[in-house]
Amino acid sequence: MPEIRETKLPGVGLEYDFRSDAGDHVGVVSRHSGRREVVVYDPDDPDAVATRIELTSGEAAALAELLGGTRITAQLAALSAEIEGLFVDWLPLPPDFSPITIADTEMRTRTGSSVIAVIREGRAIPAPGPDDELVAGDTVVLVGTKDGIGEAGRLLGGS
Amino acid sequence: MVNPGPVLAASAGDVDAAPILLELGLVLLALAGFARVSGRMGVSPIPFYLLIGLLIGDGAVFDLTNTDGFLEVGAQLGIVLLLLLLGLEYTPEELVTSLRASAPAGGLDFVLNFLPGLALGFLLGWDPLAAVFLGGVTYISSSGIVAKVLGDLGRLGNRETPSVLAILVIEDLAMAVYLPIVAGLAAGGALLGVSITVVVALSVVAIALFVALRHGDRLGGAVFHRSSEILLFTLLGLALVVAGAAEELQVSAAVGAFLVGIAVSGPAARTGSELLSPLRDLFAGVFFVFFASQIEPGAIVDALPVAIGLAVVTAATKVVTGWWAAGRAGVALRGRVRAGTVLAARGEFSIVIAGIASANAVEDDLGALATAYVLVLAVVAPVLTRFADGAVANVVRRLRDRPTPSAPDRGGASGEPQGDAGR
Repeated sequence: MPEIRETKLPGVGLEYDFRSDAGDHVGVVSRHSGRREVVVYDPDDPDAVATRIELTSGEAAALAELLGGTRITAQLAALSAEIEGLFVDWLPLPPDFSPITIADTEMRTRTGSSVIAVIREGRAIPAPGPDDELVAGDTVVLVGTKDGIGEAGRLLGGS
Repeated sequence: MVNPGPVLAASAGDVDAAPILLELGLVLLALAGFARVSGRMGVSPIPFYLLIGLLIGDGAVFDLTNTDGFLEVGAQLGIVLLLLLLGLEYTPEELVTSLRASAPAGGLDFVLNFLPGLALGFLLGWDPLAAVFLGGVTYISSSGIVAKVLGDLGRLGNRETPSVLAILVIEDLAMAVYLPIVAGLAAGGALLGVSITVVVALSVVAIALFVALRHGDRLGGAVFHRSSEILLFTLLGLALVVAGAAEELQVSAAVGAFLVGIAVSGPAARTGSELLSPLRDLFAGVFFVFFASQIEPGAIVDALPVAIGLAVVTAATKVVTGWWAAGRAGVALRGRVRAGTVLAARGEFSIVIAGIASANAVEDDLGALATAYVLVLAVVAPVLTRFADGAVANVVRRLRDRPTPSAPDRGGASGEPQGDAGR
């Protein structure tokens, strides 16, 4: 996943942006009201938005589905916006990952992070139980402190 | 007099309903009409609301006396709702983060923009207290207008926007300190008594902010209810009670309402905001009309030259403030100009401060000057920020495409401005 920068917009919501491989600077403005804006920054004036797509929360969810994402994203953004110090991360597991149940990873005891969802082949498995298995190719959605998530990443050997 | 009917007969005392309904209805229709015009022009409706107020009231074009009582009470509700909804928009975390990240910019904002008003007050020979009120009028940018302009111009995603918003947050917090101080001073009395009042008021504000930060979730949970009706009554009732108590303690009703808004967060804040927005629109409109109705149109014309001068100076100081703040965040030239020019807008808060001054009978000329000042800047600032971005873009492009001495002539200046970045 590209590195996503998150900026708080007090009184408005959150803004996320990243640089694509192709060199575009892309962003999403996530407003408290539920409306979303997809923005592309102007190459001539990198601080300014050149193109802007305004979406209702329904349209944003639809676009996310088309892009292959899930609805978990929006709720998690809202969650981390409300609780300071809480971070959410998506961790793709490496191709040589050996299957292991969540309980056996001892994620919580060792790192303090929790697995709140697993994304497998485009489908989301929310709130997996301790006996559910993690296999290569899964993307694990983690929640915890910043350090805890870093630890969990090292533990699982993901990127 | 003919009995108007069972419903009206059941209402209080000897109030004659027809003239009140007609006058109030006409005022609201006028508000609607002007709001449509302003919407089409892409301008904030606040100046138009003020104009309506100028046209009614004693000695003006239309003398509406029947609605005086309603307008006066409505104006108080307007202030409470304006500040309550402003507070509801922010979470306590946003306040703390903005404060930490942008305190220097906030400080510069205060120094550059409070002093011109203060200085002018003294120059005009006003009381020190009136000068302090005028300082407040010029200090604070209009969160409402700035947010609207940013949204309309599609600048919410711009890199300079967080700096702009952080300054607005700090200004709102500064009001929570400023208003109790001036309210205490305006109430007058011996120096010791006033000092004690102010210290008590500021302590109350500090405690309330602390409670809001630590226990905001609990309060939000207690206030929230699935029934909109119950949530409406609870939130509005709470805000009014706290505002009233705040007024008694010389903390100022506006600050009380703001603190309630900050203290309530989570679903109660989001849903409450949706429920109360229409009421806020209604009573804020009433507030602007009422405030301006207290001012003679002639006084506005008299105050206009000074207001324009003040507007020019304080627009320049806001541009410097935004320029510096955005620069600190690593934003380039064009973004810095955008940030500075958008902050120049003054509006509802300046009128609120002037309103508090009037209520305390501080300096007759302040109301007229503040109104003229807001009339100018509420209209000019959004235009300025739109125009300035395009102008700077053109200048930058021309400088960049200027043919260099050793290169063959590229045939003149650059072509049409591209994209809608300057929109």
